[in-house]
Parts: sequence; C-alpha cells; structure tokens
Amino acid sequence: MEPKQNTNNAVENNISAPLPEPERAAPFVEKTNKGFWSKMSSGAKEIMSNAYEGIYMTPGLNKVVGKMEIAYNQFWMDIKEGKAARLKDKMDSFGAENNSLGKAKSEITKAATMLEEIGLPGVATNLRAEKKIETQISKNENKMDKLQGRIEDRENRVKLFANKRDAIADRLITHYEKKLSPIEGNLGVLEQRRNEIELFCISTEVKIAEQKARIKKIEDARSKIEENYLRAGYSDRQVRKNSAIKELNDQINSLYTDVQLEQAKVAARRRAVNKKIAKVNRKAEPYRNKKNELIRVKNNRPIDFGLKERRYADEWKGTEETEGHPRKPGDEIYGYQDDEIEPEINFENYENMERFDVLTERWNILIAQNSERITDTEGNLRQTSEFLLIPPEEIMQATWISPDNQMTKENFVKIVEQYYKVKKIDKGMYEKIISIFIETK
Amino acid sequence: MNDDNKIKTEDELIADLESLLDEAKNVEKEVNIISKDFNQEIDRKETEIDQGIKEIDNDLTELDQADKEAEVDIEKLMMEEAENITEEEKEIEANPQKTE
Repeated sequence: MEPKQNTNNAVENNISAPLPEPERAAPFVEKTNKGFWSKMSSGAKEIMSNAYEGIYMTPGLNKVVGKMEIAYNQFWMDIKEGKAARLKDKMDSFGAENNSLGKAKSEITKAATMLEEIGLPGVATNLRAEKKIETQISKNENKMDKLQGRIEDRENRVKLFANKRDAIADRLITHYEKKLSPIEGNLGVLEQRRNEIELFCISTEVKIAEQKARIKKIEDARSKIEENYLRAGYSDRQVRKNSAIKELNDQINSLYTDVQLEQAKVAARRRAVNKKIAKVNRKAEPYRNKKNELIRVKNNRPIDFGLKERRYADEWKGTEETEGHPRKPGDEIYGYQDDEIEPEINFENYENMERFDVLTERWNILIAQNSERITDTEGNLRQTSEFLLIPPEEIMQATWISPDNQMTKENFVKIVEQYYKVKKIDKGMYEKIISIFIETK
Repeated sequence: MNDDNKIKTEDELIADLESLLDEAKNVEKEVNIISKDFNQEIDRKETEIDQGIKEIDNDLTELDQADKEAEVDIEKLMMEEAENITEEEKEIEANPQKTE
C-alpha cells in the first residue's frame, strides 16, 4: 500500500524506445486515459507533451501533485490569454480608428455648419461624407462587439477550465482533510501507547534489576559459607563437591541466564514496537505533506478566484527511538528462613535500594515542598504540585510495580520521568526536583 | 552473616545453604512472574497498536484511491483542454478573417 510515486520505469521505457514528438507524454498518461489519448489529435498530443515536459526527467515524482502542478501552470493560461490579448489589441485598434473617425466627423459637421451660415454650396456633400463616417464607425463598433464577445468567450473558457481544475483539487483536499484527521488521531494514540509500553518496559527492567540484586546477595552469602567450610578445615575440593553448594551454584547460573533472557526479551519487544510505530509514521508522512503541497499548488494561481487559503499547521514530530536502559546490579538481597536452626542471612534490604512506596512518598513530599505557581494554558494560576503529585495506586497500576519492590533512586527517577511523559507533563516542571531527590539521603 | 569470624557448625552451614536455595527458588518464581506479567501486558498493548496501525493503513489506502482518481480526472481535463486549444487553432487557420 506504499504510495506509487515513482515514474522511473516510465522514464526508462521512454529512453529505451524513443517516441515521436507528439507522443512524448504517452508513457505518463494514466491507464484509464489511454483510450482518450489514442483518439486525440496530434496537435493536442503535442500540447500535452509540452505540458508534461517537466515530468520526463523527474525521478520519484509525486504524480498527483506533479500533474496538479501542471494543470495549475501558467502554460494553459498563456495559450488562452495570449490569444485574448491579440484580440484585445485588434479591438483597441478599432476603438482608436473610431476615435479618429469621430473627430473627422466633428470637423466635417463644423465645416458644413459654417458653409450653411455663409450661404455657400457643398453642405450636401459634407452631409454625405458625415454619413459615410457614421457607417464606418458603426461597422467598427459591430466588429468590436464581436471581438469583445470572443474575448469574453475565451475568458469564460479559461474560467471554466480553472473551475473544473479547482473542483478536482478541492475534492482531493477535502478528502485529505477528512481522512488525515482520524489518521492524526490514531498516530497520537499510537504515540501514547508507545509511551505506556516504554513505561512498562522500564518498570520491568527495574524489577529485573531487583532480582539481579537478590541473586548477587545469594552469591555473596554462598561465598561466606564456603569460607566457613574452609575455616572449619574442609579442603577446596570438599567444598566444591558439597552437593548443596553445587545445587546452589547451578541455581545461581540458571537464574543469571533467566534474567539475561528476560532483559533481552524486553529490549526486543521495545524495539519491535518502536519499529512498527516508526514505520507507520514514515508511511503517513508523505500524505501529510501531500495535503500541504496540494494546497500550495492550488494557491499558486495567476487568476484570483477569491478562494481562501487553507492552513494545516500541525507538523508530525518523528518518533524517538528509545534506547536500552542498562542498570547497575545491586549488591545485597534479603530474605528469611523459618527453619529449625535460624539462618543468619539478612534478606531485608539491598544496598542502595529502597522500597517503591517509600520512594514514591519521599518524591511526593519533595513535590509538595517545591511546588511553584504557574499559569496554565487557559491563563489560570495553578500549583505545579497539582500536576506532579503521584497517586501511588495510579503509578502502581501503570507499572505493575508492588509497594515492596526495591530499586535505586536513579531507577525510580527513570520510572517517574516516563510516567510524566505518559501524562504529557513538561520536563521543565520537575527537572529541578530530580536533582534534589537524587542528592537527598 | 552477623559475625564473619565465628566458625559455624555443620548444621548451621547446612541451614544457611538451604535458606539460600529457598531464596534462589523465590527469585526464580519472581522472575517467572515478571516474565509472565510483561508478556501479558505488552501483548495487550501491542494488539491495540496493531489495531491502530490497521486503521491508519485503511485510511491511507483510501487516500491512495482518491489520489488515483484525482490524477486521472486532472489529466483528462488537461487532455480535453489541449484538444479544445487545437480545435480553436484549426478554426482560426481555416477562417483567419473571423478575428476581424
């Protein structure tokens, strides 16, 4: 369903098999119009070929806009208006002749009056001359009337062509207006979905980072147990052969593999979604431009028919490809074992990580403390906290992160930033608070 | 370990190892849940995206069709106009005094 804009094949055909002069436009004529073309006179084909001159060597031509441009070219007007101008010159020359004849007639009338007053002969001759001039003036006026009729006829034909051409362009522009609106709406929705998916990907990566921290903590604890065995007099070999340690090592290796696979999966899904959305944006882009091009072509006219210029202001901002979000693994993990002998391993906290609910609460406190007055788009005075306070249940619903999930402050900020992006909140409103949040212990 | 210098008994070490194995199993479970949740939610959102893309595709196909129709119409208009111009020229050639 890619737009068919390229006439290269046609150009190649044209080059490989040279056509007679009037047939130059033939390869560029639409299939539906081929029948009409074959019936056209060679003169008309020559005119079309001259009009299509620009199309021959233009690669990747946007055909509909290209042909519309040709239809709006002064070429058509020049032909008609050139002839009308010649007729107008002719008409003007008759007008000038009539002026001279009128003056001559006036002189003859004066002379005739004078002769009559002084009683000399020749009045009748003068009257005859006057009559001849009147007849000539009348004949010229008839010719001028006919010429004016022909000029008006030409003007009307120019207008008729222009009106038919405008009707086609208008129909297409209206169609674009009608169709582009839902397309723009859908592209907006897709961008919103993309932002939501990005938020979910970041949240999942943060949850995976938490699990990596837990694995790291298990590894550290295992090392300490191995040291204990060695201090208790066991040999390296004995420790390595210990079935429980072997099982634990296998489990740790398997977990690292699982985590890596999950990270790769998140990255792959994110890439796939971004690719899909970028592709549809690329596909829609020429159509969005085309509407503007059509309007520009239509507005570029030699005759003013009083049609309004339309505007199409919103321009697509391309999709930003998101990058991966590598995260530092945490160092410690926590847990508990309700066993006969109480294990001494502490699984309560991971180093540099805090609970999601604690971080959210601390963030909201900072938002409230640093709230500023701003004027919203409708000119109302508002507090930044009205936009920035994060309802815990809302962010948990959007991210699927539980209150007890642990993360670093940096990862929490990544989630918050993407959450605000989904909410369409300007970064300038909270950028300062990020620095304070990161620096605060 | 609270006290790294303390030498633990065999039973204590076994208990620690069992605790670690349990914790590893918990991590495994958690990773599986994260994976399942991720697939479920992304599948759902991607379905919405696919639906949106399909609608855009349909609209673009309609615009393609409108382009094609307009292209044919505008070309036919020019061809008719070219024929009109030729006929007028022929008429003038055949009857040059008509302009006078």
